[in-house]
Amino acid sequence: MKFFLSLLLFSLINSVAGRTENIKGINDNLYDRPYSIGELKSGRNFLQKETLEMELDDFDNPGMIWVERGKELFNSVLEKNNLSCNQCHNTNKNSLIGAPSNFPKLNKDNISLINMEQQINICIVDYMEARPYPLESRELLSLSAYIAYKSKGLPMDIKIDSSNEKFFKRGKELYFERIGQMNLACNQCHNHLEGKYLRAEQISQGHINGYPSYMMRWGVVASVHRRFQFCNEQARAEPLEIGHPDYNALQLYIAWRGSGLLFESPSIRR
Amino acid sequence: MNNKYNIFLLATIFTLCIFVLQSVEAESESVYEIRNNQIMEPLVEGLPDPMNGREIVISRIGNCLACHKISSIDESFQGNIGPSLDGVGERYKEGELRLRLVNPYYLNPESLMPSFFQNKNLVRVEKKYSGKTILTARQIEDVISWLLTLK
Ligand code: HEC
Ligand code: HEC
Repeated sequence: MKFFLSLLLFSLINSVAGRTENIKGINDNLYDRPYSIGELKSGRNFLQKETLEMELDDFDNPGMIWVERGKELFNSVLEKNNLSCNQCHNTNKNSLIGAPSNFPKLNKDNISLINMEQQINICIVDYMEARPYPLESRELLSLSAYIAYKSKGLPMDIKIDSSNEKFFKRGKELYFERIGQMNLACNQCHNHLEGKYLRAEQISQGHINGYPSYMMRWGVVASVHRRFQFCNEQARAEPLEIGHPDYNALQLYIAWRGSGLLFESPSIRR
Repeated sequence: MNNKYNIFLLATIFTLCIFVLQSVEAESESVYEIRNNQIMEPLVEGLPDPMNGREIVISRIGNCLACHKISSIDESFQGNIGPSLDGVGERYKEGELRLRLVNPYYLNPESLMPSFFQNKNLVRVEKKYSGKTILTARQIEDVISWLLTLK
């Protein structure tokens, strides 16, 4: 009997052990940042010249179509109760300038994080009694890009305290977790390989100050979570759904990691 | 019925199940031996095909150029995350190249180079690749035979 039990235990242990857990950085102090403020570089530093020129010129930047559409939506009345975003968020009160620094933030229920897109939907449902937009839809990203654009040029400033530290820890864990058939973690590319080339793409520090961002490969503005999905696919890892709690935790960690950079949405990326 | 006997029976069945499961896995699992920083034995028998190996290195199948540069190949977008593979057939013996393709973590636990022959102990693998190694044993042998020509 004992023999069988120990065999059982042995085979179970056997099937769990054996992963390479040994990755530089994860065991450092929780609040160690890979880059000090002076070394922070936005993804725009790694763009080709023509792309950068396009990004910097509001007339040429295709992301501005989203911003314009977002502005229209922001000022229009949605469905039945005759409210527009603008009525609650005008320049006198609660103008949303600087608001992107608060996201992802703790939801009212205190058990989950929400990002900007999810917050917009909460306003639409709870205050405007209208139907939420599907995540990653044209309308939702237009609103999100418009709100981000209002803060263009302001520094990203993400605070971690006892209320969101749990999510921050989870995000850091995810950032250092090797995933997919390629067995790669975010930190392996974005903490150590800045400036190197993966095929034709120059690797940046992996910040999100330019999001929502106009992605040339898809011809649309994409959210931070859509970018995460894409990096997951590169490692041949199963992507999570847009809006997934783990993506929000990861977004919180990455936003904090890039605090000090200036907001630049809508940026242009390959 | 005797209770003790029942538990015994259950434990036996359970253990047997696990053995069966493990041996099924073992068939697809990579079995190789590392000695002196080398894997001497080819992963499969048969004559390797260097030209097929070249094709794998260049194409998206092996995607080696994502991270490595090879001067003799006429392809404008080559990565520089790993060292250049120029002259790699001179620097390394066959068994050393096999180790680097099969288990790069043996030499560098933090290696960015993926193992091309690992299908276990991986996290959140995309469903279409689940349980599969990046390259087959045959393909790895073909790649090695071409790398050995890089002198
Ligand atoms: C094999 C290398 C690799 C891995 C692993 C990787 N990335 Fe990336 N990542 C890239 C490349 C290449 C780009 C495109 C160039 C750039 O902007 O850095 C990119 C871009 C990004 C960007 C956009 C930066 C910008 O300014 O537009 C973010 C954010 C990002 N990655 C986050 C992540 C996260 C989160 C993970 C892990 C889940 C991850 N990356 C894993 C290679 C990688
Ligand atoms: C995601 C990146 C990546 C990919 C893809 C990749 N490698 Fe590597 N490779 C590396 C890195 C990084 C090293 C440096 C050693 C280390 O860190 O373990 C390396 C080292 C090597 C070496 C040893 C070179 C030396 O001079 O020491 C060989 C040989 C090699 N790789 C062959 C290949 C082949 C063949 C393929 C494709 C079938 C491939 N690699 C795909 C990243 C990669």
